[in-house]
Amino acid sequence: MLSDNKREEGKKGEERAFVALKKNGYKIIEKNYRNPLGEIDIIAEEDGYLVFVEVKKRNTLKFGSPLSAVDGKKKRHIIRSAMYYLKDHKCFDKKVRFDVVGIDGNGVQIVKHAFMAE
Amino acid sequence: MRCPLKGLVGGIDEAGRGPLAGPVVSSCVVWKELPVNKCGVADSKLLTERKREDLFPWITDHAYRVGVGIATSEEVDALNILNASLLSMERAVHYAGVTPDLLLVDGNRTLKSFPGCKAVVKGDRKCFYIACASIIAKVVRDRIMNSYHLLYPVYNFRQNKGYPTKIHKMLIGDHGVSPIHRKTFRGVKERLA
Repeated sequence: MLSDNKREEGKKGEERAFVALKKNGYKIIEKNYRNPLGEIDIIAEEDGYLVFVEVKKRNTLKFGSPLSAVDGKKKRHIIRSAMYYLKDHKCFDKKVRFDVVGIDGNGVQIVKHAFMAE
Repeated sequence: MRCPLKGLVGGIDEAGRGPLAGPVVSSCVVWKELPVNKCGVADSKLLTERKREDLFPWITDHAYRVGVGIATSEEVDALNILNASLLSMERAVHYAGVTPDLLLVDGNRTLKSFPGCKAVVKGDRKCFYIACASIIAKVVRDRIMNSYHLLYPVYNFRQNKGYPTKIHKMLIGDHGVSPIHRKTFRGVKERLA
């Protein structure tokens, strides 16, 4: 169970990611999308793509960069719920992309095409 | 090759799971009734390129609906090849524009979103519906690769269609990786700078 403090922090991070994405021309479609297969932080449209965004916040770099926090298992979950979303919403006319927004002490970083699934 | 069935029957097949470059293409061909003359339709792999090109217009003329779905090399890298080919299949069904009563899929997996879906192992050999879809998918993908040949002539995509031939692998070694190469595939991955 997350403490209220932690949840508060997570929310703040997502808010910062949200602002940064908007500033970079992303059209936000959904936030905290949930389905039986998992959760996706932000779903947006950018440059003709339907983008599934994972937000990662790190206070220190002690455990590696925010990007390395998205491991294979997490990726599989995101891909599966993204597939579910595509079918559910019949969004077949847009290309699909996965981005990660990394947040740490230094600021916000958007990484496009973050997934290279094996 | 006999599968006489009632109602709207569709077949799905995909082309381009193995190649190191280019998209994976699926086709969904839906029939109202089985044509009297099957004009020599067989698995796309058993036909010559010429024969497939001849059958292509015959299928599009006689079938009730034809849908084509594509997943790009970028999507193959992002989703992995299995999910990308499933996505291309979903797109193909979507663009066919009808909901068939029965949908026959080549292989051992069905489309989860589609209740009337049945997997036919080795369906491209056994089933007319799937054979037709395999021809459409193969022809469309070949045409795409022929166009990519004009854009990236050094890889000779017109001949290898992106498949991992000895010469293709050698050309990747000589010229590096193009934007349509699948960056997560073995044989390409190692060449990334």
